[in-house]
Amino acid sequence: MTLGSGGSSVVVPRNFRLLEELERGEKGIGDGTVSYGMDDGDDIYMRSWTGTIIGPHNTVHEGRIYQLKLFCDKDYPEKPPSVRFHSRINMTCVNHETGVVEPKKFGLLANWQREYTMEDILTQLKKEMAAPHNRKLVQPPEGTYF
Amino acid sequence: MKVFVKTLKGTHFEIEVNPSDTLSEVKKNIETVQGADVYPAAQQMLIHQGKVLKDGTTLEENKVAENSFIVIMLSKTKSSSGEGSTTSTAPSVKASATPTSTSVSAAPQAPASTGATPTPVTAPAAPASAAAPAPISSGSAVPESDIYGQAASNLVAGSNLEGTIQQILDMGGGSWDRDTVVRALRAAYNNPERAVEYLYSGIPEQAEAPPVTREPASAQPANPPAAAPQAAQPASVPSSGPNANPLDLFPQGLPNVGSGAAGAGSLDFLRNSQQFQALRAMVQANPQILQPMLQELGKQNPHLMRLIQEHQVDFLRLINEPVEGGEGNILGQLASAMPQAVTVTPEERQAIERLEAMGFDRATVLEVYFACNKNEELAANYLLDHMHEFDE
Repeated sequence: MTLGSGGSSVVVPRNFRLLEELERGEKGIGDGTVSYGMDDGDDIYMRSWTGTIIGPHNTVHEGRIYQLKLFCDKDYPEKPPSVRFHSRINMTCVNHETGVVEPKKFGLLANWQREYTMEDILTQLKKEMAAPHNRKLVQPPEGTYF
Repeated sequence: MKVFVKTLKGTHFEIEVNPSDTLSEVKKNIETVQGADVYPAAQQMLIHQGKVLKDGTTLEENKVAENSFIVIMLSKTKSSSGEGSTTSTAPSVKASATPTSTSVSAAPQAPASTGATPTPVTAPAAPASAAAPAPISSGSAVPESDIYGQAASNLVAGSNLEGTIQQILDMGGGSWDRDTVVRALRAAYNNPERAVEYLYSGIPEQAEAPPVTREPASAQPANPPAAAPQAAQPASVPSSGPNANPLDLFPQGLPNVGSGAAGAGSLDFLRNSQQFQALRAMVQANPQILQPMLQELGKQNPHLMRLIQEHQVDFLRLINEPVEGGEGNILGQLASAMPQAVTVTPEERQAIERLEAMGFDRATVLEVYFACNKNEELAANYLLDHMHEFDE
């Protein structure tokens, strides 16, 4: 996130940026179908985050809650966080054995820009669930984990 | 302290809680405030900052502070059939590589018995003339009066329509405008699931024709008493949404009447069709199934659908005519749809359960298992190889 002022731009440091995201997560995002927060409150580097996505309507995911883990390394937001589904899910961009969202198969991570946020990732994953190639895929039993 | 509870409908309400309250107590609190019929405690799922809050823990442990937001959703009630259904709709199997695929419905799971008595599994009888297997149906019994109500359960109307339009707009994330969504819903006869499909794949021109509308009540003859008693209807309901396992309306039995044959009696040929007589009896017993059936007909026989749209008055006159032959006639027509029993041994039942545990729904497992001549390994391989092909 850069703040422009008369030609010069200020890059918001990693920690400030993550504090902004934490604050936004605490307020509750949008319609509540995606949410996120810190996984480990004691981690001063704010690396481990947890998120949930509520499956979109009119898809096989409807009525399910998917839990994810996001890891923002020290080069975040220059580099995207690593994203892994904790709840089992069958999706084209998710590794079937590890639950990792594969950056090459998920546009937002493949074309990452530093303005993108964890909220954007979760929202985009929710949209991906509703895409034609994912919305009807047979899913593992509810309540199973990677 | 005050905590805000956000619902998935976009509204929120506040509750008064203590940091030391357990989640079970909070859920009871919500149930009391909002009403047990709206948010039963047993079905509540509470989410805070990306964590699903567990019943045994307290708000303090979950770092829920003053003015925090919690998201509430209701988990689906577990069906009594005990089937590990993994999808909201039962996928149909494209069994091209397998021998004749037997269609079997998911019966309520019997407790494991030590005796060697085989467990019956109900299977709809395929009509002798039908080349394709009969549709998979789920065995979770539904009160008979609700059978056709279920068929229309996905169709939205009235106040629900506005909410559905908004949901679809949100789902598209701004990529569709309201007008397009309304057009898609109209083309899908207000079935949101099909409307979303149309939005992704394009709205078929033919589907955009206005749906068949009823005449004003004054012009309509009074509906005669239902010819078929509810008990005559099969007690198994298609496991997926409406029209997922279509009723084969007027398959090949109808003459290919050209639209040139217009005139008052242009739909009279329907009167002699057995399928139409059965349809008429069902519609007179349950008028709400007319729309889903017409929607299905539009896919199966677009020519006939066009004819019906051109002669709506004639069609309504025909559909409201008293059924000839009374009850016996319709009972005979529905007899072929009554479930029959197929027996499986305890070993076979265990094999079916193991396949289900792999994450496939019961109906699909049964169909594939029987199609593979009860060879568990073959069925497992088929399910895994074709998991992406299972369609709604």
